[in-house]
Amino acid sequence: MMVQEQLAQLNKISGVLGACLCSRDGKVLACNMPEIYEPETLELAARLIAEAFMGIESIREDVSEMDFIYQDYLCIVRPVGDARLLYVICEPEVKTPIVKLSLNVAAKKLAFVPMPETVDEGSAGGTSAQQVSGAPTRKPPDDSLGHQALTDSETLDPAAVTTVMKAIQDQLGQSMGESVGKIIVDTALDASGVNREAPGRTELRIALNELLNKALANVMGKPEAVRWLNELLERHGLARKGQ
Amino acid sequence: MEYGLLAKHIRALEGVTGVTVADAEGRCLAREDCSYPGGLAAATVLVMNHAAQLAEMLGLGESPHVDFVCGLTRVALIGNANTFVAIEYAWPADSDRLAAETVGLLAAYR
Repeated sequence: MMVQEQLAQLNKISGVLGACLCSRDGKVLACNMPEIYEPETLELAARLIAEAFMGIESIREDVSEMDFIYQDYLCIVRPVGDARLLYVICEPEVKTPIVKLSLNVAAKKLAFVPMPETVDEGSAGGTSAQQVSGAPTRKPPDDSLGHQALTDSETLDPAAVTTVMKAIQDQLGQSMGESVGKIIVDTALDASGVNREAPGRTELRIALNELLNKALANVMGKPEAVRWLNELLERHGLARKGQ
Repeated sequence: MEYGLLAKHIRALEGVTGVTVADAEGRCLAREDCSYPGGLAAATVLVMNHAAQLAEMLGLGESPHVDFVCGLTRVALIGNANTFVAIEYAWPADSDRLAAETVGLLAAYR
């Protein structure tokens, strides 16, 4: 009920037409929007908003606000923890500071409300509030892939690396859209300093961990993402022998 | 179009601290003091395309621009059919004004 209460509170603000909570992979989790919108339309809108948000997040991690400003209406989006987004549709003459403040407050409250769709499937015997809600504390990137997972060779086959990166791009593209998947992979490679013609082991490991800990974990869940990525590396001869 | 000149012209607008100009394919055409290491051109096009689809789907109206905040940086994304611009600006500059002025410059340079 907490979620619906928050959405209803937002809808009470003069000029706000509707509010919606969705997951980062574009699924509507709770909605209080005008009835003229079909559920399918709202699903598609949530996907577009989530992809746009993640497109920006792929180049800079700390996106705290995103506003779509049109002639007739505004769409104001805020992140709710690491896993969800909250947005409202408003008339242009709305008191924007009030709406933004209310949205920020609602987003902070909702970050601590568990949603079944975001429960970490890997945990038995209950999950912590942080895991289920995407609460705002971020873990620093860690070596989840494992230093042992990649081959010992310092020079890697560029074609194999390209194939692996394309597979990651496609995997991300299935839930985020092809173009977002490409941006995320390209950004991780560039940020880690991977030379695409002669990829180095260290740089590639940084890039893979970056992708694993953020985008892949987001769309697949961490345990599944680790298993999938290790199999992918093995299949393309990039895994350490004997793994 | 003289993209470098366009970028310099937009950079000179009051409150603007950095500019990236992109084509419809997301390639960077010009940069002026942009603080983003890379990927902003592609992200701009992606977001603006999604903004246009969102408007059509929900009936939100025309002439979208998108504002986002990363840390202390504010960025406004503006575009027409072929050219997209990401403008980093400093508070209290108004993104509505910057969007309107940028649209004017895009038309003038076309």
